[in-house]
Amino acid sequence: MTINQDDLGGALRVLADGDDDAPAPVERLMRRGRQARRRRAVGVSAAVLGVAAVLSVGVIGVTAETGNPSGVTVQAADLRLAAASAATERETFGLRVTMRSETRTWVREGAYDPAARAGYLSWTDDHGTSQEQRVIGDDVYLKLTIDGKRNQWRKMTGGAGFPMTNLGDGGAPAMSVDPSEVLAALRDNGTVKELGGSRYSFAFRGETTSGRTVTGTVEVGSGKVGKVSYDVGGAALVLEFFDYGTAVRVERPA
Amino acid sequence: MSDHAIASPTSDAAYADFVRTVWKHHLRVARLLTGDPERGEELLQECLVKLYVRWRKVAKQGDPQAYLRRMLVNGSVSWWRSGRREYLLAEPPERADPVADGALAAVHEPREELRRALLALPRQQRAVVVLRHYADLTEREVAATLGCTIGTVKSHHARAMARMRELLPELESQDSEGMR
Repeated sequence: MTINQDDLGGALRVLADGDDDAPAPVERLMRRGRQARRRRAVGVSAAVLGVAAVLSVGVIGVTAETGNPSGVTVQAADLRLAAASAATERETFGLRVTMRSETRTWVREGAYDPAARAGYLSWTDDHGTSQEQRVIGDDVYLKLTIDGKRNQWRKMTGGAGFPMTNLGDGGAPAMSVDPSEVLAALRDNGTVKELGGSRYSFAFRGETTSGRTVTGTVEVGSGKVGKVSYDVGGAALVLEFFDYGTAVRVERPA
Repeated sequence: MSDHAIASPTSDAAYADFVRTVWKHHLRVARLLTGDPERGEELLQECLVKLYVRWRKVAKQGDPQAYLRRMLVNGSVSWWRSGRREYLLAEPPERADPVADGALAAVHEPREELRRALLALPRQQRAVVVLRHYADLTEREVAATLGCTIGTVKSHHARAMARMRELLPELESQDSEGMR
């Protein structure tokens, strides 16, 4: 490739233009903006946040799927799932996040406190290094190997929830998973159908770069959400909730 | 009414129009600043969410594009310092840093050469290159965006171009033959 200084602008345009463009996710941005406003307005009152169930995470957002059937059975399923989600939001719980691509599976496990919007996930990577993510409100911390030194904490800005990897096809967005958002989405949005055996299917329109609809299933046990499985970018993402009421203590790294 | 108040429909409509208008251009700027299409979009989204919160105030001041541009540049610092290499260590190998593993280079080598050269620059120098050569800003505008003097912009630019010539021999030969 030949570039001179005058051509550099053109070369940069080629570089930046080379990727597919997604339309501006205006509605999602405005919704997240309103949520951010509310958060600022109410401060960090955990109680208020718990009620408001503020949603703001990563790239996967949700809006109500249009054409939601209004039949009695579906409505009842909606209500039952909403109740289970709301009950789960009032509890602390253990959390396991499993991602499956065509070639690999990753499992991260920890705990989460929806009221405090705080939790952690930890795992061991392929190099045998322990990894951990901590979420405290809108702050995300990652334990990493930096300049050869292990277990260094870095704070990430501009995100919320647990950072996940890019899944599936190359066009899939980077993704974070916020259990609070997932539960609120199950409670408030989407099309829900009862599958039997305390299992429900759901469909949300995710405002990813492709605007794809996110579909999946949720399992409810003892009136609380037990497992949520859905597909993102051709890969499976599973959130498992367990040990309700477990103590969740998340310290902010120094 | 405070800045935290729920936006009026008029304010929302103006914000929506603004986002639709500037999205494409600033998405590209963000991609170049972060060196990654997906993280560039994330950065832009985060900045636009923050802009929504301050929309009335910023719109009243008259130049939300400049404000957004400053947020992108400042936001890219965070990505650069806390996210670029280290964050990717937490990701699965097949989605490792395309710059580091050369995976994309095998497919899009010419573009990757430039991407690598750009990523090799300190973030201030990279921002100067992107703002000067992609966004076509004047040195004065770049200085205002970065919050520095015009002299600093010139210095960053000279160093950036020197570094890029080292990394892109084609740039050096063309420049030395055609520009001087």
